[in-house]
Amino acid sequence: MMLSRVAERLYWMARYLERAEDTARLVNSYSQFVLDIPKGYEPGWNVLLKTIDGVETFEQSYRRPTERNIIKFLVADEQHLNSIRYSIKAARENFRTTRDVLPKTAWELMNELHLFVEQQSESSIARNKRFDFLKNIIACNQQINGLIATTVTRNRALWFLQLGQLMERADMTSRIVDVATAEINARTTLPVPGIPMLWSNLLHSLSAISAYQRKVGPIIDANEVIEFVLKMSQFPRSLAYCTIAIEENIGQLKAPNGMLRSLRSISRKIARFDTQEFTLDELHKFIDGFQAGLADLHDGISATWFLPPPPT
Amino acid sequence: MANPWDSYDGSSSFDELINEHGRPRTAARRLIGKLKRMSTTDLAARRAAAELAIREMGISFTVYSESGNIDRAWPFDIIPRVIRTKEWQTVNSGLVQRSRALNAFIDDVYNRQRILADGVVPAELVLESRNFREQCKGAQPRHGAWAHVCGTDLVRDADGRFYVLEDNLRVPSGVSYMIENREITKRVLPELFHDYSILPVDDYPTRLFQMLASLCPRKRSRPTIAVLTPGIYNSAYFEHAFLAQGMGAELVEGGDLFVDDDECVYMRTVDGPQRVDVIYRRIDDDFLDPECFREDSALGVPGIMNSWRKGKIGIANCPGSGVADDKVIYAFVPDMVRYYLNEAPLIDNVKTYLCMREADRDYVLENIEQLVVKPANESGGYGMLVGPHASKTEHAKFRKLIESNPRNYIAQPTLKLSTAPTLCEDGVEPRHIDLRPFILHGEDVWATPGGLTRVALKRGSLVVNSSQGGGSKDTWIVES
Repeated sequence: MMLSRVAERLYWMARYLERAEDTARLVNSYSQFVLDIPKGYEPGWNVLLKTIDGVETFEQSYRRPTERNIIKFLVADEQHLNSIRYSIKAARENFRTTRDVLPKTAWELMNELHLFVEQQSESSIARNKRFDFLKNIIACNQQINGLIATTVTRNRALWFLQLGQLMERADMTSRIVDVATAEINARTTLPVPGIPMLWSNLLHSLSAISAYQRKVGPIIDANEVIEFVLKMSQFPRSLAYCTIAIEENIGQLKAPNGMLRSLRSISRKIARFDTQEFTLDELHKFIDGFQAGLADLHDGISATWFLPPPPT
Repeated sequence: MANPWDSYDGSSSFDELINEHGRPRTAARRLIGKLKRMSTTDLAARRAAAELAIREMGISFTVYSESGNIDRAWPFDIIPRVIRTKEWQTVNSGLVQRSRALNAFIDDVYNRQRILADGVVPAELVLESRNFREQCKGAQPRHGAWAHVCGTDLVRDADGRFYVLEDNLRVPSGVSYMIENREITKRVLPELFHDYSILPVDDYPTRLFQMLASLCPRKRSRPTIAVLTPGIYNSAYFEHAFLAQGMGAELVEGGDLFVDDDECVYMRTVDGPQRVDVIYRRIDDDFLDPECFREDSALGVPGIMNSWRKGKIGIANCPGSGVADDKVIYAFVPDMVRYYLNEAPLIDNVKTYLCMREADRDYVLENIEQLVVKPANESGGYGMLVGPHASKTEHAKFRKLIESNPRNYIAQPTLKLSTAPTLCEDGVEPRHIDLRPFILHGEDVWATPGGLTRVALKRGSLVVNSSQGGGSKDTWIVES
């Protein structure tokens, strides 16, 4: 038995937690990457804003796109929807209203994480504090995920949580691929060793580097990287994996046939995309299509399982 | 370094742990012994550990203030309050007795009205009260039980005896803090538990579940129970979630429920509508059913009153129970005990002057400086006057209020609430406390062992309400 309202809040709680974790990983890997760039070639920090689609919002409240401002915006900003701090707060609010279906210890972990972010985020913008802070965010999130994975009954609560997590992750992976590819191509002026480093940063930001090296080998090749993050269905952050796992979860939830059909169509498009021979424009179009598919899917999930909006 | 206990002086009131000779009472001897061996630094560290535990456990309540609603951590004092089992047994029987009388009264006034006909309680007092709900007349809830969950506030006066200060029969809160207080004490002062056998308090959610299950309108091995909350912005939301979790029940808001054509109540779930058997509602009567009470209520469920009257759903507490939660009706509870049960009350009321009675009113107007004046209908310590602590202007204001609406006011002597040692900025000091046990009344009647001890954290203050700067303590019922 699961209330529609509870299903909706679990879904969003998982989305926000995943968003916080992914943002932490993105900021962390990019910050590390910048350290390795030779003097004179330092890239801007704008790319992070582009990735989370936050350029406009940023410009409304900050004057200059400095490293400090951008990190503050992504990590410690209380107002902005995509900041880690906001995401954790939103996750906790959703948790607070669904506490009765989740283990009590998970609620305590959620509070620890929330307290940690409230107390530390403002002071963790400087590089010397940033890495530890972000590492901790990721670790706390994984602790919560681990607890949920090992103590929550295999039923709807878990399926809605996983659904939210996978939707958010698929969205984030596709954004990172989209923006990073465009950025890398715009930087042909970098000295030669710079280019593979950019691609390996993309893998880092998805925690995919070790998995890639085991599967493909030590050489970081652009086409192989795209192939890996799009199609490697055994890697849990690839688009292919997320799509299949979403299909499994909504299958458990007895989704209507139409929803399953449109998911299979998304899977087919991933399979058909030619990673060895593509233009930037083609990749961008493919990602756009993928994201539109996710948005439709979200609307479908909402209409099928969540609380109808109150009559007006 | 000076021992934080050195200057402790609890002689101005009855002190729960220290007797009039400055020595620990029997039941508290080992507790005080251990605490006294702790340094100021150690005590402060334990207090800090308790505060952290409270934040991590997410125990909070909401204060409604002008600058928005603030979610505050629950203020907690680490020194437990101790009561002997032997003394508690009498109190326990008194609470059960009181609940039987109150429920018999509510059932009576909505049905035969014998007590009014016999003139034991003046009829107009009940029938003209805004807590008397016409819509409840003729209703016959299971077991004749109406006020299923009652929070009775007890105080100990200078004579060392317990008195009932009021019975909260609408949606009393605080029981989750009673349970969490014990858990915090176990975490931060585990060594205190070695020498004692303390009655456990954590089976409350199970008892609550059993009581609610006994209200199920159909035969089912596991009835579907829902806790109805006004939502996240209610000051007791933490508790609603806590109890739902503890019972394995659904925590629902008004929008999750609806009444179908068959007059049954359903929840909106991912698999479609599911019938609900019993609702433990934590919203006031006024908001329960916009078709019956306040039309503008967005918190309630249209049609639910009709389902309840038709016996299709159990609701705890029953709508209309508030008729006995009124400070004027309170004065008649000892009479109810004699009338319905033919027994002598085991716990006395605090002496109460009813301003509607001419002689009482004259006395109150004459002696207002020494009395506590309360409106009949407020809760949370609002709208009252503590005579000895108030100014002349306030005395005058209350005299006027009483004269213009005598039915709405009662007065009581200013009690010397008992104190208990409390860890303060400058060491350990006496602070005034009260006690709220919870009584569950379904097929059977049961009271919590102990209850929630609330403490007025400001020196000399008598106001223990959490919304007004009160805190709480763990409460131990011990064998000694």
